[in-house]
Amino acid sequence: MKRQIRALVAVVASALFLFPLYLVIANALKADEEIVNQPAKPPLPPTLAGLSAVVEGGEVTAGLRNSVLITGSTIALIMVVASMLAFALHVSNSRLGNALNAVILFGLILPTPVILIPVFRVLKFLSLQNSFPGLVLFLCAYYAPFAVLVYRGFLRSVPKDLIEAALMDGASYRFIYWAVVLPLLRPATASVLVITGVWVWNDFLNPLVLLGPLQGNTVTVGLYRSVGQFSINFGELFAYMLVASAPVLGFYLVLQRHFVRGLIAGATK
Amino acid sequence: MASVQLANVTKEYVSGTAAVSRLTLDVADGELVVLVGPSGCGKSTALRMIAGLESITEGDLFIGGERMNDVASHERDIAMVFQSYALYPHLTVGENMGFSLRVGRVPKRERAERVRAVARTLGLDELIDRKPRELSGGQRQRVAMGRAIIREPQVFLMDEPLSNLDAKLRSEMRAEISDLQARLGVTTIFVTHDQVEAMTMGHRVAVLREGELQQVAAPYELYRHPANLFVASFIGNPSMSILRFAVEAEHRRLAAGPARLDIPEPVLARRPGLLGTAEALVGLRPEHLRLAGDAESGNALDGVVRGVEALGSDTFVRVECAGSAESASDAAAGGESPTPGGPMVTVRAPGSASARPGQHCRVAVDLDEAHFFDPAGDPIR
Ligand SMILES: Nc1ncnc2c1ncn2[C@@H]1O[C@H](COP(=O)(O)OP(=O)(O)OP(=O)(O)O)[C@@H](O)[C@H]1O
Ligand SMILES: [Mg+2]
Repeated sequence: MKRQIRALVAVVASALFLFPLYLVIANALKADEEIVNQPAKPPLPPTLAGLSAVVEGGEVTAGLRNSVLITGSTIALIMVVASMLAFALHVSNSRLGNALNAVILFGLILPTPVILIPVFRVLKFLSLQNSFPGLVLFLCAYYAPFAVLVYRGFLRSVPKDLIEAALMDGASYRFIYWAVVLPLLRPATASVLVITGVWVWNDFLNPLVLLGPLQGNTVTVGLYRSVGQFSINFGELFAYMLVASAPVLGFYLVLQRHFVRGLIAGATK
Repeated sequence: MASVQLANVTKEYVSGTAAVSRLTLDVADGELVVLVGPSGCGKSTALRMIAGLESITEGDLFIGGERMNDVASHERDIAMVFQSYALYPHLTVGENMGFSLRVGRVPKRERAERVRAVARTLGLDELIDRKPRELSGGQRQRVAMGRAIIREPQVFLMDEPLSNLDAKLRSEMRAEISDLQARLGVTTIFVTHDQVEAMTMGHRVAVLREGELQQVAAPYELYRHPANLFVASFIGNPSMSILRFAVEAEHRRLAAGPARLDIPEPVLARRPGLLGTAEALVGLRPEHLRLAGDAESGNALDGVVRGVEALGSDTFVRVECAGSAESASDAAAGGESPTPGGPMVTVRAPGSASARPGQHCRVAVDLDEAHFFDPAGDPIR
């Protein structure tokens, strides 16, 4: 009985979460008037008109390329910087480390809109305004505190003996980071990549403001701009959304299997 | 290979605990010295200072004659075996053992050869491609050993490496480590809280108590001539029984409750100080006590059997002695409250002995072999 209730709850919860996804997929394969009249109807027979129009328009492929570029370089940078910082904070117990820790925690609670104008000024001072590197650096700085937090939490489960054993084996901290710590942090890295990856991919305000209109759009900004451009062709809008979210879904599914627990098992005793 | 010298080495943690106080210890080149003592006495701390994992508050550490206080761990050329083994979980057995060679940029081919050679000596050939989590406790222990010996370091440090093994495996590994150490001739410092391990493995044994060195000596020397009451009661299994007696100088005897023991002439000759004290703590090893017949004359204590531990070859009999004298064993162990009832002694009897709890008995005492301490725990000379 209990099991059935649990199963029922699971089904209802999944349905709630999957319904929007269904709407996007179904409507991306329907014609415009069908969408307006019967939004929940399955796409029978399906049509690829919307998808091909969007892809041929070129707008979405350019947006995808930009988004992949920005998201990819941001999360790669975050991964390296945050895990190194977390490891450094983990092994040092200096006062500087504690102060740094406080600053990082403060970074977690800053809302973007508040700092967007100063950030723009800083980027302008560095001549990085309206550029991909500028946006990537800002996003990295903005999301790194979260990643540091995740890494530090995970580092706590890495036995201290392991690091000391590596020290005794003659390794420097740099070598220990690459050869011992980073491999052990794989599950944490998977979480960091997925979570910050989704945030950066879905980010709208930062690329809109920091990138400006001349450098091209990310998919989110592109979607926003296409609303007026296509004078709301729902078929194409849904097709656009499908194309824009497909990479995130794929990314998640690929990394999901790395959320393995117990990688640490067998290290000690 | 190298010698290790500690000169007045002290460790005070930030919290203020003095974990090790003014430890002075010379370990000769190729020697195996065991650090032993009860839990919390500072053994690990001492070892970690030698390893460079813990800073030295005061004093000097020399390895191979060079002062090492401020040299980083990875430059001391020391290998350490951890109690937890600390194997890298993401690497195979071979990669674990070869890690230090990889750090030292030993070419891949040579690395593989040395890993194979060490694996063969330790009987790990078959397991070279396994991950640590796929090994038994004993196998992990071997890998940890392999990781230490592959580097051919100046010094081995081992922190209770056998404490996670079962009794049988532990005694096998004791012999194996002793063997290996003798064969390689590497200076080794071995930490344990198990006095059997200390006695069987150490060329010399250093006994620590609350961060202070009590005695360093060869195992038998330690057993025969403990420097103080603490060492006397810590070394030996079952441990020495310690009884508190009043010294009746005019009768040349010891008295406690109804018991009277005559002090033999040779003992007095060796320890003239004995008659000058009012009270003495007398340490008696189980093998110097005997279950005696009622008719026997000579020094003996009357008592009641309280416990029997038959090991087959020997039977150890716990006897509660009659009388008001209190057992001093507890005082030696660190001032816990004395056990209620009379003082207890442990007697070694033949395996065939038939003693039952509750039975009355007489325990013959060989005072020639006894150890005498004053109430402060120092030996009476
Ligand atoms: N990092 C630390 N900070 C403060 N005090 C410590 C620290 N590590 C150990 N101590 C204290 O120092 C003393 C010695 O500890 P140590 O670990 O050296 O004991 P040990 O002899 O190895 O004991 P065990 O047999 O239980 O391993 C203990 O009183 C312990 O509480
Ligand atoms: Mg210890």
